[in-house]
Amino acid sequence: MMVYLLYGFLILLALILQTTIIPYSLFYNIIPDLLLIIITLLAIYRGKTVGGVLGFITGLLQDWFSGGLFGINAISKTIVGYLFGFLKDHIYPKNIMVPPVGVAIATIINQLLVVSFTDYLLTGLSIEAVFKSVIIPLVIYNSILSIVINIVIYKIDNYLARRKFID
Amino acid sequence: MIAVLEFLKEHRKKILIIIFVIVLIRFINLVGRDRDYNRFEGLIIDLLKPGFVVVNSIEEFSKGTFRVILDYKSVKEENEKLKDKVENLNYNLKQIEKIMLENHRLRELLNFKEFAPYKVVGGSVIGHSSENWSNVLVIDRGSKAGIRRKMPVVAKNGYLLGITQQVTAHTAQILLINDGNFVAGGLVQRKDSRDLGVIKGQTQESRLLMNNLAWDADIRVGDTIVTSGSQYYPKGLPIGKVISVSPDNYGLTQAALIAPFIDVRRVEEVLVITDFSTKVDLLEPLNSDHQLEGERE
Repeated sequence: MMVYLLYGFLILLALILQTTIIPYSLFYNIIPDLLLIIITLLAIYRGKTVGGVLGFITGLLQDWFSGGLFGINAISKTIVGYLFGFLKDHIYPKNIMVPPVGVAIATIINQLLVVSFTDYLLTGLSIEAVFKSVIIPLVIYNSILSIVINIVIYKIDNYLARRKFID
Repeated sequence: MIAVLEFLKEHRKKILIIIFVIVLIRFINLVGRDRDYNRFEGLIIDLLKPGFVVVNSIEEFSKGTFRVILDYKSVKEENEKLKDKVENLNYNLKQIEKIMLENHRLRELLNFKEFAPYKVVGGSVIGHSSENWSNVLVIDRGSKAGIRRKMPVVAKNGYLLGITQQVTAHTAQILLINDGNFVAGGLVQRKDSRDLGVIKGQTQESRLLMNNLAWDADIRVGDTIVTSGSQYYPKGLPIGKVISVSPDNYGLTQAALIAPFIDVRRVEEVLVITDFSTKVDLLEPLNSDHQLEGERE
């Protein structure tokens, strides 16, 4: 129970930060995807079911707070969360390189899914423009932030383990 | 009973996945740009609103405090100047009131229709889009304040900012002019031109595209573009200035790039125009609480 509460709080905090303070001005006018970082890391730590369900919930939350095609984030984040869940037990998540590289790959997959599902983006923009203006800056941004968020999640897990809420 | 529970426990994962897929498909069916949020979704968004307001007020407070501390002197000077200006404006306002009254009386005498100011609702921005492919704002007023779907939104200085999209009881989402889904009718505001075109937002680009202009349309760099007036927009809301004109559709039409007057990233306060029927009967009382200068031709 405590686990869900803390993770839920973390996700809500990330959503609010993502929609209020962070937008614009910081880095190439790009909004980092804190929610995607959290989903990817939790999926790697806790497996595909958690990844998929969390991906769906957070994607839906994000859809409510962004225009465009409704449901697009729910679907793409579910797929990404589920896919990265398969990596559990196959890689060593404490390795320092895992969060940045994992999140970078997740960002590329997520963005390509979003663009390919949205017809007005698909017809209106060239693939180079998509990569140049959004995906590459976003990958760099997300990878850097993933290191910080990884520490936060690690601390939460440590706290929970000490309190014996999880093993 | 126990057998059912056993069965549920055994196939927990599969059942979860099936429920999950059904929910997913349900939501895919609901996909559509033109739908409003249902009551449940509205409730969740309204419940999250205090969080946004708190984070925003902390941000604003820290910004303001830092500014006062860091350049105390210039803030003080600005304060003095503003006080002077307020006095000046107050005097002017008195004069205008007198003229307005006179105007009203004369119109009554001549039995003219009066141009009413638009009815507006003010709101402040509490959130932006949470992804990179759309440009929306969330404001802190919703249907309780009289905002409905598809109402035009302007910034404080009267420039067109966007149109309301999903509205909940206490929040409203605004589709900004530079979103890829934004479309409005545009008009060249010059006495000898008045040509029409379609204004579209471009994703990941702050400039707007105006196309479907006639091949011989009289449009030049530097022209001001205003809304042409339609079911959703009143006529004459300023949008932007033309920065380049080029032939489109193999010379059958023309297209123009437009730099909007407003920087949507800096907007903090907005006005939603809830009613823009400009002509009312004089017998109806005028609503003078919130006023925006209406169009006068």
